Amino acid sequence: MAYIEFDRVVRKYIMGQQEIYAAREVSFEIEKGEFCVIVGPSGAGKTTILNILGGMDSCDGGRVTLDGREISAMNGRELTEYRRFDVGFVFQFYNLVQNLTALENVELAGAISREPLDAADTLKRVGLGDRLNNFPAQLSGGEQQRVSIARAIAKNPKILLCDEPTGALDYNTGKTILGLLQDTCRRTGKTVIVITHNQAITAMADRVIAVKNGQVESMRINKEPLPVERIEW
Amino acid sequence: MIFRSIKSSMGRFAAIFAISALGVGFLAGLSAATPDMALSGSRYFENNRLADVRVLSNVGLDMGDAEELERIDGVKSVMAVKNLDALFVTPENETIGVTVIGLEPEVMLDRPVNRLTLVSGRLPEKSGECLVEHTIEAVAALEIGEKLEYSPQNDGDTDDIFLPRQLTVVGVVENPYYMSMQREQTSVGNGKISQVVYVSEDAFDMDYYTAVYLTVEGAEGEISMSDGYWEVASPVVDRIEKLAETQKYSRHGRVLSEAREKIDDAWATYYDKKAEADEEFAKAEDKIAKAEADIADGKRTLNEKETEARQEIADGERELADAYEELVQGEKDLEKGKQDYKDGKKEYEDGLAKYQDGLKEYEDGRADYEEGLAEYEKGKKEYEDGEKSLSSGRRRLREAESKYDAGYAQYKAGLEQLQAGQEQLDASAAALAQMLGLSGVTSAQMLIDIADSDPAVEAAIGAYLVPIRQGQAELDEGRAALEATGRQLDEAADQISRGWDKIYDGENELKKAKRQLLNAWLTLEDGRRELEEAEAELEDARTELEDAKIELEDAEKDIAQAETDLKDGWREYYDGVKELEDGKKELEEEVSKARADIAKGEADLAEGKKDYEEAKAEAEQKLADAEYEIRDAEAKLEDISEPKWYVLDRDSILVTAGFDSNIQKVASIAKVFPVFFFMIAALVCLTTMTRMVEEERGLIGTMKALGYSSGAISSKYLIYAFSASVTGSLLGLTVGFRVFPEVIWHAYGIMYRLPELYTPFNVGYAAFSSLSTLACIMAATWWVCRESLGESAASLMLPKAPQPGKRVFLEKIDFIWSRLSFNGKVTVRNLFRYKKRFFMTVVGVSGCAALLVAGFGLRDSISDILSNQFETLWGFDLMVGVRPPDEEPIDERLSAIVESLDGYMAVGQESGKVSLKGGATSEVTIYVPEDPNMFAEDYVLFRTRVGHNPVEFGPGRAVLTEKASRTIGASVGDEITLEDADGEQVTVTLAGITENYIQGFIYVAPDLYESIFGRQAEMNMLFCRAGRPDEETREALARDILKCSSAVSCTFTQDTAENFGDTFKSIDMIVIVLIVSAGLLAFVVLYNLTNININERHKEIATLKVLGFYEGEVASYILKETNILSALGGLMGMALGKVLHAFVVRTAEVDMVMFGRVIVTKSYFNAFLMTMLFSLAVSLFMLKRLKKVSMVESLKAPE
Repeated sequence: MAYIEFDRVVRKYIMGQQEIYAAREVSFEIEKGEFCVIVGPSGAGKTTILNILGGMDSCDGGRVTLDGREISAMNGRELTEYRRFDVGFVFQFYNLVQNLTALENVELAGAISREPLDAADTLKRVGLGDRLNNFPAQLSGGEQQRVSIARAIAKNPKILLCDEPTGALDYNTGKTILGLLQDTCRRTGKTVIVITHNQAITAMADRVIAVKNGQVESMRINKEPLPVERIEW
Repeated sequence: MIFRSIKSSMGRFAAIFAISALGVGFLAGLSAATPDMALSGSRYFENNRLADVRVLSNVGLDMGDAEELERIDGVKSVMAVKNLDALFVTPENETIGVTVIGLEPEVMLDRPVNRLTLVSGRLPEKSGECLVEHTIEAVAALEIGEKLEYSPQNDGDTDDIFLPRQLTVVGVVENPYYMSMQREQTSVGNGKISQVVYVSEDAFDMDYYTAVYLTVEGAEGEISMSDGYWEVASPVVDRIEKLAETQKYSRHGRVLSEAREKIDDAWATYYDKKAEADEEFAKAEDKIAKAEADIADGKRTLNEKETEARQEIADGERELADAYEELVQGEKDLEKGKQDYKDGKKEYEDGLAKYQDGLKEYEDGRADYEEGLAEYEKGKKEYEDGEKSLSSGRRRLREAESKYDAGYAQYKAGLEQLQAGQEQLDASAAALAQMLGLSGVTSAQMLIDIADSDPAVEAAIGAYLVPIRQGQAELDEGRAALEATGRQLDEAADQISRGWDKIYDGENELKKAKRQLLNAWLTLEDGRRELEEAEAELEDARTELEDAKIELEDAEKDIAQAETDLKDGWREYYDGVKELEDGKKELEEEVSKARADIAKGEADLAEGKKDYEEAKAEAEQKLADAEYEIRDAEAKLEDISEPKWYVLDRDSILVTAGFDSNIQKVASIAKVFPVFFFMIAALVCLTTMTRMVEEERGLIGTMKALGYSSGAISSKYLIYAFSASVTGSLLGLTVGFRVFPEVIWHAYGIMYRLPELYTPFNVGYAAFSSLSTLACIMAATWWVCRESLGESAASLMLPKAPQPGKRVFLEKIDFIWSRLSFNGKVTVRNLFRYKKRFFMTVVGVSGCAALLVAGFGLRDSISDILSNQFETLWGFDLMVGVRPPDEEPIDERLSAIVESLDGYMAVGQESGKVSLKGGATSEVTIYVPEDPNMFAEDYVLFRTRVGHNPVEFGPGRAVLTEKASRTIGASVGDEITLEDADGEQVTVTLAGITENYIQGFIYVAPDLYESIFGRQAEMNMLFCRAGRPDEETREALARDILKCSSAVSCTFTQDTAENFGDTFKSIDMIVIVLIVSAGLLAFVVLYNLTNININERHKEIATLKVLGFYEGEVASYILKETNILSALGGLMGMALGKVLHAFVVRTAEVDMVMFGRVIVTKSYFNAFLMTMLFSLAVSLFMLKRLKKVSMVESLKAPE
């Protein structure tokens, strides 16, 4: 059994009289320690997959399991605990608490985890050792995103979920961030899932899952993923 | 578009709506209360034609005067009225002051001035029926059917003028003139008027009127006491005063001559009566003297006879005493004889018992001896039996021995025989062997064994062997038999030796037994000898006892004889005693009978004397009264030598003046409260609109880029705020105009019989309050818009850079900072980040807390008054009004009653006024205690309210109560003007100001009073310390006291306290209004704050949820801020509340009462707790909103 499994997952919304399927029978699997990219155009259902996998939304059919636990069967409290202990989230717009310094933002996440990593160390690892006491407003976008990644890593979760992590960043910064994510994946063996509309990124992934119209269009395994420096878009 | 905006942000809209409603409602409602009340009062006055002017004169007024008044320009209607104040006794037996007003029989109710309204019952139809003024619940009312008895305590003038002696209440009416429960002072009774009644004018026997009431043309259209009113009324009043200058002399001359004539008549009658009385007194005194002489004779005779009889009795008594002595001696002797007999008898009995013991012992000894003897015989026999069986055993043994010896000899012989046979056989066998060549064979057996083992030998010698074998076999057999016999012999020998052992043992035992037997026999012999001796002794004892018995019987007989003799002696003695007693009793009876006769004579005489004295006293009193009355009339005549008119306008009419001042109080409260609401409304609006504009920043930028003008864009927000504010104002107006005047109006129900309240929609106040609220809100909105619209379209399109996090000074204190949780850190930074919200919330919540503190504090202020005044400050608890002692001394019954109490003191009471150099005046009661030192010690506690320092009161000093001194602005050492009830003004130096809560008093030492007024104070009160009796006791005591002729009134302070207690209940209403307003205020402000917080931090909340924070953690993250601000606001509100409370208390105080100024800690605590509860309630309410925040928000782009 694979580490992460989506088995015919269905998610639909009722808009007036109409039923809109955000996910129709989505099935895929991801192995532990993989750097996986889920790619697809806007409205293809990427976010729905992200929400369900991140424990923020429930599905209307099918099964979702992670490391043998069925997420799709959890109640609200269990989902909160799942998010708390198993998922590290990296947002497109960083979502840092403006009133806390970089260090405090990381500590904030660590404070609720079971075995958190040292906040200052983690920040040093993402290259922000000298910006520990800056407020988010005093950091550039790339730096903020690194704080966001540090925050996700510091929780010591099972998976890292990244929602368009480069979406709000310029080209070079975006590359740095992707490099950081890939590096984290390789070094710590954590499963990293990046959601993006940017096809170019797929080249650096171990596994690429392409979605379209709420369905998995294709899934392929990269035998030789490229290092980030060689990717261009 | 506006509607959509409103719909999508109901919370925001509601906040502006609610704060507008509250602000406008409060301002408009409280402001309108004053004019509404004034209007309602004026309408009531107008509808009932309340007098504008009241004219009085010290010589009375007549029709001519009334006609002159009516002719004055501007006077509309005139009504002359006859009335007087008199004392009546209620069905509860209480003497009260009553104002009796005469009604014209044809008009009755629909009078031109002070129109009456019949509330219930009917009009009086005949003399002795009356109507009573309607009162409010708090005042004891007279009911239809109840009767008022004319009190005998009224003075003669009143008796003459007022005819009916009993009034029956037949109806209840309302007179606008008596709308207030305050009544004017009067000179009768205790100076208080308790009831107002109306009778037909016929009841008055007077040819003049006591007052003229009139209304002014055109004044009825104006609000009473307003500037417009005075413009119309003042000129008319001036004209009346001008008329008074001349008109007052018209009645004067006639009155003077009539009075003189009456007085002269009275003097003549007085002297006639006096002469008549003196003659009667002389006659009565003669009769009394004769009776006294008769009684003295009777007494003397009785004494002589009594002495004689007593001598006889004394002789008899002596004889009896001698006999008694003798008898007692005889009795003593007998006792001794009896004792001797008893001793002898005891000795005899002891002897007998000893003898019997001896006998028993002897018999026991004998039995023992017999028993021993029998045992000895038995032992002897046993011994002989033993000896016999032993000798037979010895014989048997010897026989067995000889048998054994024989057997043994036989055995020995057999053994030898056998030995010989064996030798023979062995020899033959050896021979045989030799023959055969077998060497070494020595015995037959050896040969046999060889043969058995060697067949060859067998074969060789078999035949020879047969006899040997046979012989050997026989020998073996014989040996075996012998061995058996030997064993038997050993056994027999054993047995024999054992037998001998037994025999020897038996012999030893027998020897022992024989020794024992001998000893036993010796002992028995001794016993027998002893027994014989004892028997002889016993015989001797028996003889002695029998002799003693005979002696005792003789003694018994002697004693019985002596007893009989004594009994006879006693009987004789008692007969003698009884005889003597009878004699004595007879004597006593006779003597007491005679004495009773004399006493009766004396009592009769005393009664006669007393009757005489009473009659004399009564007659003298009557004469004195008559003289006093005549002199009084003469004095009055002197007094009225200068006629005077009093022209009183509504400033001097109690009802209108008091009503007006109360309205002013409401007006001053109405000025403070809305200020809070305005400040808060502005803050709420500012924060709310700021948020709205910030949220729609992008939209504004887009519109600006599309070419909309700034005005067009800001109009949207202005319209939004406008519609919220206007709708809110409308609600506020509708509710406020109705509720606030109504609540305040009812609070005054404790003082007034309230007419209907008019709450017209007051356009002026409505416009003022709505427009000012609106202006405030619009200004705030415009300010916010301008700030945003100032930026360029391009920069507006960009999201506003998030307000950077800031370090706060607290971070520098690492000690505290490092201990804060993230939650705490974020909260602290947020608190300092949004200053507008910070102020809005702190001001709003502190306003709420302040209202609560004021509300609870108000309750504290009044709750202490009663116990302070009536328990702590006043040591006395009963005030008895008495007739002035110089007119009529306190009668014995009353002195007996007051003597029985813990203490009492005569006090002069008078109503008066104090003022300081022509400034404000304050009505006070003047108390002049007989003994100031003792008064200060036991009756009133003189001290300052603050610090409780003693205030000295004693001879030569005057002390004023606090409220009055504050009203006139006097302090210790000031010279104040004191005016007595007659209007005489004097100057007095204030020696002190003392704590006091209810009414106003000036305590003046009697010597000071005399020196300033030039006369002594009339001691018309008794202050008593009755020990705070229960209600039942109070009633009984009051009844007793009021039965006394010199008691006029009787008031327990406890009853007064209870009445006040009821009054203060209405204050609770105000407290409730304050609490409700506070709650609303807190809710609006906190709701708004939390609402904004949540809206603004939607994304943050969503992120926290995604990060895995539990619901509770998220809630505390957001709501902690609200709670801290609430607490801050609450604390600030404590201080603010103290100020507010001081203000409210000062304005809400009723004239005659001073409220406490202290708020107890518990009230602060409660107010704070309640504030926090409100905050908590809002938090709970907002929890739902928090739950609704979707996590998906976290994925959205920043706004």
